[in-house]
Amino acid sequence: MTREEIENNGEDMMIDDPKPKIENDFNVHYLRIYYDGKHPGCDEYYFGRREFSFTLENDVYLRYKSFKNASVMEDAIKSNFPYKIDIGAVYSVDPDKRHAYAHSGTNLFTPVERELVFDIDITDYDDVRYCCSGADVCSKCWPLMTVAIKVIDTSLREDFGFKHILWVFSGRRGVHCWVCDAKARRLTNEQRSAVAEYFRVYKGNENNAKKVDLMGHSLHPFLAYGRSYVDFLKNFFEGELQANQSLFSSEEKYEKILGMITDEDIQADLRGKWENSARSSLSEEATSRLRWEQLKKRLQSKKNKALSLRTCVEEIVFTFTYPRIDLEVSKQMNHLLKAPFCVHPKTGRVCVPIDPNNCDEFDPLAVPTLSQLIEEINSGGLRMDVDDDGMFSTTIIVIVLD
Amino acid sequence: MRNCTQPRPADHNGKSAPKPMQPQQGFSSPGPYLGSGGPPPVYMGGSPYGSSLFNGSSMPPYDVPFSGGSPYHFNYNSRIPSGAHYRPLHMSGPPPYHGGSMMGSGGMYGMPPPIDRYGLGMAMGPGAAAAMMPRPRFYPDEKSQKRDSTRDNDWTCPNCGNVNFSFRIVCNMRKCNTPKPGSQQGGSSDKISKQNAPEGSWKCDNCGNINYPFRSKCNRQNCGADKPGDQSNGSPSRAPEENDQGESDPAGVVIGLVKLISCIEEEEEEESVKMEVIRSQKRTVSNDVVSTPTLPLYLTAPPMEVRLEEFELFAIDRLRVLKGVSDGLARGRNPNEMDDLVETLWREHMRLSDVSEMINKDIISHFVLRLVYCRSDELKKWFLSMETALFRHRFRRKKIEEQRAIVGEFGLPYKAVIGAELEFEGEVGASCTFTCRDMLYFDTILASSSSRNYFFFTSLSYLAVPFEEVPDLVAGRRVLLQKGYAFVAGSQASHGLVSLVVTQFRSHLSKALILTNRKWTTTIREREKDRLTPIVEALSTSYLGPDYSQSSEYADISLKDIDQVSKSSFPLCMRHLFEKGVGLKLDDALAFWREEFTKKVGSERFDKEYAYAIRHNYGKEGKRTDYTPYACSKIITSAPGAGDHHGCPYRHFSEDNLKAALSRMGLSSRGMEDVMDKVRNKHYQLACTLTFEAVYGASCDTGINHPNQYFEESQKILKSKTPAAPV
Repeated sequence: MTREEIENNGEDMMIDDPKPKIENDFNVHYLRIYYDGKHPGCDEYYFGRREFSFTLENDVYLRYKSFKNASVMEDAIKSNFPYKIDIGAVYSVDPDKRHAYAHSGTNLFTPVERELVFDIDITDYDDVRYCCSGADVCSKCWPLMTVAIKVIDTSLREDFGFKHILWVFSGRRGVHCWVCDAKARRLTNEQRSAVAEYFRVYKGNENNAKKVDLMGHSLHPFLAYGRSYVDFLKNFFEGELQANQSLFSSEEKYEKILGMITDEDIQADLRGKWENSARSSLSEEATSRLRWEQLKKRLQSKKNKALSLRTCVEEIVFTFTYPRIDLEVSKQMNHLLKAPFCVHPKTGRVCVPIDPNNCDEFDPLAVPTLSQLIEEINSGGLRMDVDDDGMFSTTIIVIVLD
Repeated sequence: MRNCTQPRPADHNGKSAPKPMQPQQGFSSPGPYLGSGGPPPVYMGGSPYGSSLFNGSSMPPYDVPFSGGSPYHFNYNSRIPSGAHYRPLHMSGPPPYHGGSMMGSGGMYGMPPPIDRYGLGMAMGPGAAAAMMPRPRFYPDEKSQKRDSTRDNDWTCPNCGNVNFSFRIVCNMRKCNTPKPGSQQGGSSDKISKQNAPEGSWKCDNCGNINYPFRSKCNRQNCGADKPGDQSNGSPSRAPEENDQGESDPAGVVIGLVKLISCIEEEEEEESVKMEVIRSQKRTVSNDVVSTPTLPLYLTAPPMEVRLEEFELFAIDRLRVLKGVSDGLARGRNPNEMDDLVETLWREHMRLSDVSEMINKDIISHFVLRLVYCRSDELKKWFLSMETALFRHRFRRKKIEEQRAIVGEFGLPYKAVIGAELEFEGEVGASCTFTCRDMLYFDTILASSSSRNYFFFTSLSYLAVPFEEVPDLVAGRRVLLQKGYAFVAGSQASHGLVSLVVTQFRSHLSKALILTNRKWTTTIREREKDRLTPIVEALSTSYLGPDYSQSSEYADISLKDIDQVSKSSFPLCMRHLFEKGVGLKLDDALAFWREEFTKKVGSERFDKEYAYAIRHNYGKEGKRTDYTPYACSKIITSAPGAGDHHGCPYRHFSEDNLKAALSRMGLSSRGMEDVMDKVRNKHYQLACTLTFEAVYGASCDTGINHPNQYFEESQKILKSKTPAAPV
C-alpha cells in the first residue's frame, strides 16, 4: 500500500461513514508512516517555515530562526540556552533561508499563517490600581487579569466561534492568549485588527480624563447583555475591585472618577458630599462602597436627560475593569510572542498555561520558578502523589527539564 | 487629454511623410535609438522594441521639447504590436511639453497647475528628476542640440511667434492652434494616411479625421461627430473583427495593456489581442445598453488597448482623485462628507462626456496605477486603502439597482443580501439564539449612525456571513456576532452591504496587487524597461509629499537650542515629543530624551527601554532603516494606548487639556474658539493650521500635513522676521 493511499484512508476515517479498507487500526507499518512526517512535531514542511526567535544573554536578539524538526530545535536550544524563546509566524518559505529568496525581489518571504494572539499586561492598568505599579503584581491587582481572561475568552468562543484557545501566564506581569483554530491562523492583518478593535473600548491617552467613551449609544450586545458587562465587569467592580483597591476612599482617587463625569453640576454635588464625609468612622472599603452607591444614584436618576450621562456609570466601570489589550501584538501576523513554558528571565517563573474555566484559582505568585523546580528534583524526584500545585510542577518538569 | 490641441492628422502627416534617410546632424552621440538607421518600418516584424523607428527626421523634435520633460520620450515607439498599423509616435503631443514652460521645472509631463492643490506638484520635482537620470547620457550637450534643432523647414507661427517643427500643420503653442501658413490642412494628410488606412475607412465631415471603418463616431478628441450616413449612433454592431488592426490613432502608439497584467504569451500576441478586443467590444456594448455609469470592480484586466499618453494622463487624473481622497480621510471627514468629496473629485478629474469612454478611463487608470503602486509594500498599502475608500464612497452613492448589479457581479454567495425577502444561510439558522431585542438594537444603531441613504427592514432580514468578511463592521462593533458569524443587516445601502462589498473589493485588489507585483518584477519591468518602466516609476513618487526622512535646509538643531526652538516652532503634538526630521543628531537626541524622560521614568529604565527605540529610529539598530517621521494622517489615525504620550493633541486630548495647551502656546481666546470649533468638527489638521496662523500671524495656504512642515514653515516665518536668528 503506498503512502498516498494511507493518507487518503486516514482522511476518510474522519468522515462518519468510512470505507472499510484498513483492517487494523494499528500496526507498525502505519506507525512508521505516522512518524515519517505526519506527526505534527515532524511535519517539516509546516514546522520548518515557522519563525522562532532567541533572546540570548545581554539582550542579543536572533530573529528568523527556523528549524527542520523538533530535534534540530532542541539541539539549538541546548547549545544556545536562550533566555527567551519567541514564536513567530509561519512564512511562505523557511525563515532561515529568507535571504536566498530576497534577491528575486518578488517578496516571496511573507507570513502566511499565525495564531491569533492577545497580550494583556498589568502595567497598562497602572492608573486604576493602587497596590503596585510597573511590572509588579500582587493578589490585589491580579483579579484584573482574571476578569480580562474571562471577558476575552467568552467572547472569542461565543462571538467568534473559536475553540482552540490557550491562555498562558507570561511569567511576570500578564497573560498571553493563543487562538489556534485554523480559521484564526489564516486571518489577514486587517481581520486581526478587526477582532482586536472589537475588544477595544479603551482609548485616549494620558491627557484625556475620560478614557472610555461609549458614545451615549445603548450598548452593543457584546458589552451589554449577559456576557461581559453584567456577568463580569459590574459585579467585579462592585465586589472584588472595590474591596481590593477602595476606589473612592481618598480625594486623589475619587477626583479621577469625577473627572469622567461630563456634567459639572453633578461633579460639584458629589465632591461636596464626599469632602464633608471625609472624617467618617467607616473603613476605607465601606466609604468607597457608599460613595459608589451615591454616584450611581445621582447619575441614574430620571432627571438626567443627556444620553452621555446615562452611560457614565458604565463608562466608569469599563474604565476600571475592561481588558486592556496591547492591540499592536494582535494586529500583525509577524509579531513575535513568547513561547509557552519559557522561563521568564526576570522572575524565573515558568510560563504555564492557565485554564480559563478555573482562572480564579490561578495565583501568579505560586507559579513555580526554576529554582523551585530544581529543588523539587533534588529532594524527591518526580513524586506523583502531591496536591494540585505539585501536580502542576511535576508536569512542568517533564516538559521543561526532561 | 482634454486640452490637447493637437489635431491628429497633423502628426499623422508628419510621420507618414518623413525624409527617412536624412542624416541627423545634431546627434553627435548615437543613442540606442539610432540603431539601424533603416527606413521607418511600419511593421515591426519580430523586434519588440522597435529600435529603428526613430531615425531620420523624426529625431529633431525631441531635442527641445523634452529637455525638461519625462524620461522615456524616445521610447514611445517601442513595442508596437506587430501587424498593427501603428506608426511611431511623435511626441509633439500635449502642449505642456512645448514652449519651454515646463522645462527644467522637473514637471511631470502634462501635469497642469491644479495638481499643486494636492501636493502632487511639489513631489514631482525630486521624483521626476530622479527618473530623468538617463537623459544626460543621450543629450550630452543640450545647447548644441538646441542650436541645431531649428531646422530649415521649421516655421514660425504668424499668430504667437512660436517656432514649430516642420511637420506641424498647426501651431503647437497651447491655445494657439493657428494653421501653418500656406499649408493645405487635411489634404495631404488625408492622402497619405489613406495609404495605410484599411478599406472602408471614412473621413469625418466635421474635422477631417480619418476613422476606421468600424467607428460610428469620429475618434478625434473633442469631435465625436457621427459617421456620415450612419444613423444608428453607437450601434452595437461594430465590426469587432476589424479590430485586430488596432486603433488607427496616429498620435499614439498603442499598447496592449492586457499583456501587462495578465501576461498573455507574447508569441500569440496578435491572436490574443484580437480575441480580447472582441470581448472588450461586447463589454462596451453592454455598458451602452445600460447607459448608466456603473462602478467597475476591476476584476480582470481591461482587454482594450491604450495609447501611451492616455496611459499616463489617465493615471495622473486618477492619482489626483486618490490624493484628494487621502487628504479627505486625513482631515477626518465623516462618511457623508467623503461621499460628496469623492463625487466632486470624480467629476472634476475623471468625467468624460461619453459614458463608455469614462468607464474605460476608469478601468485603464485603475490598472495603470496598479502597476505603479504594486512595487513596494508601502505603495501597495497606500493604493489599497485609497482605492478601497474611493470604491466605498462611489458604491454608497449608487442606486439600489446598481448596487444590486455590483453585488451580483462579485458572485457573492450571499445573494439574499439584496432581496427584501430573507434567506438565511442554512447552517447557521439552527444555532442562532439571539433575541428580538438584539435585533432591534442593531436597527436603532444603524439608523442613528447616519441620516442619509439608509432604510431598513425591521423584519429579520439579516444575513449570516463569516465574520472575516466584514472586518470593519466587526471592528466597529456594528454587527452582531454569534459563533463566528456576523449577522449583517440585509437592507439596501446599509452598512452591512457596503461593508461586505467593500471587503470583497479590498481583498480582491490586495491579492491582485501581489500578483501584479510578481509579474512586474519577473517580466514586465525588464520587457518594458525602455517604455513603461520609467513612467511607472515616475508616477509612484508623485503621491509622497515632501520627504522628511532627509533633514532639510533648516536642519541641524543642536541640543541646547531645542527648548527654545521647540517653543517657537514646534506644533502642539511635538511640544513634548519631537522628531528627528527637524535635524537633531543622534547623540543629541539620546541626551535630550534621557533628560526629558528621566523626569518621568528614571535614568536606568530610560537606558534600557527607550535608548534602543531612539537608536532604532535613527537607523542604528535592528532593521537599520532611517525611519521617516510620521505624517499628520498617521498620527491622527493611530490611537495611543494607556500611559502613552503621543498622538495628535487635537484629536486625543480632552477639550480642557487642549485649551490649556493652546493657551500655553499664546493663543488668544478668540483664536482658541476657532480652533476648538474645528476640533469639534473633527478637522484636526485644519485646527492645527489655524493654530499656526494664530501663533505666527501669517497665513498658511497649504495647510499642515506634517509636523515637520509646521516646523519648516514656522522657521521660515521666524527667519524672515529676524534674518540673523540663530537656529
